[in-house]
Amino acid sequence: MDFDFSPEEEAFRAELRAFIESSLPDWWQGLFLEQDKSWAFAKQFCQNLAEKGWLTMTWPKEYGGQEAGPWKQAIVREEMWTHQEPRGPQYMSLNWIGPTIMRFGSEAQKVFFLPQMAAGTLNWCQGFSEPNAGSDLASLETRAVADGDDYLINGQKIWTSYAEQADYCFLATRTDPDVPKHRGISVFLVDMNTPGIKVRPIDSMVGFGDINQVYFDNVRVGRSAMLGERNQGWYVMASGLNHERVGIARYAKSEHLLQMIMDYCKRTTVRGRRLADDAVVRQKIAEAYLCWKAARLMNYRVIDMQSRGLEPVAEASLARIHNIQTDQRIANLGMEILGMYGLLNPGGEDSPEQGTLQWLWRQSVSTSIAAGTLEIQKNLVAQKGLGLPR
Amino acid sequence: MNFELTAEQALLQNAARTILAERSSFESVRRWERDAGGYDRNLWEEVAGLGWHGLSLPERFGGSGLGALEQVLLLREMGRTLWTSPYLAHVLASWAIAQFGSENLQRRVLPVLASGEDTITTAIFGLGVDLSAAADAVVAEAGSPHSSLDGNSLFVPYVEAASWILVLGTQSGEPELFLVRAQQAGVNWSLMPGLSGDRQYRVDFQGAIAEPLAGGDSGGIAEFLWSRGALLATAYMTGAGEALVEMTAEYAKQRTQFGVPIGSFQAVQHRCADMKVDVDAAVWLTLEAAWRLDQAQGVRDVSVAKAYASDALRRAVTHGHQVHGAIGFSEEHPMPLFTRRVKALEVLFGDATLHREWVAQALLDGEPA
Repeated sequence: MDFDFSPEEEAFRAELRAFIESSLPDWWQGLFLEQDKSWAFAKQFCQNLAEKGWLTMTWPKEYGGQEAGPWKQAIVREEMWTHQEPRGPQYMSLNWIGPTIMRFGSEAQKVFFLPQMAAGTLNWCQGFSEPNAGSDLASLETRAVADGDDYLINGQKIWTSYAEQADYCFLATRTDPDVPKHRGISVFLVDMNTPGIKVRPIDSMVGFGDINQVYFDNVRVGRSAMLGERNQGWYVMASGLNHERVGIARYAKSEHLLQMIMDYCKRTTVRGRRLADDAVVRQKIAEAYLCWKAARLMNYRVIDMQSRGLEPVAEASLARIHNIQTDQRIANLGMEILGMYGLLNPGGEDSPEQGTLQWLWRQSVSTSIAAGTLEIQKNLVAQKGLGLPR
Repeated sequence: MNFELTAEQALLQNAARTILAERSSFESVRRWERDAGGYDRNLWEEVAGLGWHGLSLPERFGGSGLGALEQVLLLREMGRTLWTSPYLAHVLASWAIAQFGSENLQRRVLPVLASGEDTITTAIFGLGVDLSAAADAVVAEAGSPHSSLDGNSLFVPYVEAASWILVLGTQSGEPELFLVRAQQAGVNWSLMPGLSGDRQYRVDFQGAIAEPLAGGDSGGIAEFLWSRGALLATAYMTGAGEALVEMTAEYAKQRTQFGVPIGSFQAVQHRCADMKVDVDAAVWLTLEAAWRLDQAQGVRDVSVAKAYASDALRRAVTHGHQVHGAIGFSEEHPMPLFTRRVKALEVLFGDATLHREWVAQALLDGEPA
């Protein structure tokens, strides 16, 4: 066993971190603030990362990657999440849309999409959830009906992140309503500029670009836009979602926030005593630290399995449950310790720590919902990990 | 990074799992709780023959020279079957002698401990059960060639089976470890029956002949014992946790109510999932702590593991009971064994609150970054 990164990996981390820190403007606090500026920055940052070869470094060489292993990929994720994910939404397409196209895509799809993604110029949204299909995703109703060589798509998606900014949508549709629900789904890769697509942003407490409604009104796409076989879409999506579950280093964001909280407690004196010397505060911080260590370790277990060619399933859900618990515990701890100051908006004269805490806390509320609820993750641990009946 | 066991480690783990599954059933664990002998001496001697007693002692003293990680793997397997024996105390005392004993004393004692020829236990807790209380409760008067011990130790495991007791006491105002023959006029004991059902004693020393271990260089004795003890206890506890999760999931699959297995209910599934989430993390935090100890990277990770596991296992036992329902109270079922043992391990060598404070010292007692 070895629980440390190699010196070579640590050197890579240092180089990457230096690059990120020299790239980030001082106003950068993640996509949720300074929205226009932030979006423009994230797009440019991805292209700069691509020039360094770091955007798709884990991809195969033939698709513009360097075939870096899962541990280097983990380092990239950690450094990005520590710095409020300056890649914006591209992390998700790099993590799983790219690999899913590599696995299921036609030659034409690979040639068209992958070089653009490797260059950092293509932004995606995922068209999964619908008004009547959330946790029960397979019950989705957006229809794609064959019409000659084309398909006509009708229906609506909701909670679609970055739909307004995205160039393409990874869209799940129903292509056969007469078979069991998992067997009648097909995936299309749809240009968001196709006539008939309408996006309505939904004002969100979580931040910029977070949620939208997307309407499909007789949207005509070619047969060539289908990813994988007809009615095999559930399988395509499941393969992708497994990547996504472990693709988010939320624990790295939590670590960053915990460090901020600890520093605040060390320099803040209340009634003549450092917060860091208060027995209750000490217990809570230590507890948060334990949760964070557990979360990171459970993520590392998944990465270790990937690095050995094993396919984590229950382990991936288990890691995500730890990420959720840690994210919410540490965000809540920050709000508790900062008290009324924690409520202040960014940019205010009295806002501590640049006022980011409020936004990190807002995001933590959605952590147990987005990309599969906490309860669905627990179902997966019970069913896939412990063999309990469905 | 690499989470894989070596072939040798996997072999050790599998061999331990096999022999303990065969020889230490839950029924036998319960039988030994009621037997004056306290534990299965035949199995004790058999595993001594497999080299378990000297697993992590240096080869020059007849040990196998393996590390804390291998020791943790073995204790985790013992925890899976709840096999109870003086093993934890024996290993802890051996480690302390290897750390603090003079070369002469090590050469004399460690080989018979490694072979299992002699059994040693630890007397390191006093009234109040904290780092300093034990040492204060036993006072030694220096003499030549031996010191003389007076006072008492509490919670001493399996002393009636031990040839030796490693005693934490005070000499000339400084904490010191003493090697004491259990069978001598100045050493008496009485059983302290408790929740967990394993054998522990109050030991009274009245002018007991004692050999000081360190001969002056005794810095960090109590910290050493508590951190190593916590690691060993946590290893055992996480093994028990894994077995508890498996047993509970199995019950949820078999027990039928309302015409379906109760494991098909989401409320039951979520309890089982919570158990797995907690226990898996406790297992890996413990393995990492052991590995870091072997890399001489300090003991903060031991406190992380002990604090996490103490809370995690308490939660897991609660879920386990809830899933098992009434049969979980029956002493004919293994569930109460888990409940009682885990509760004892939760507080042994410091509960979660104590170890969190030690973690906090490492995190917060410096300047802001």
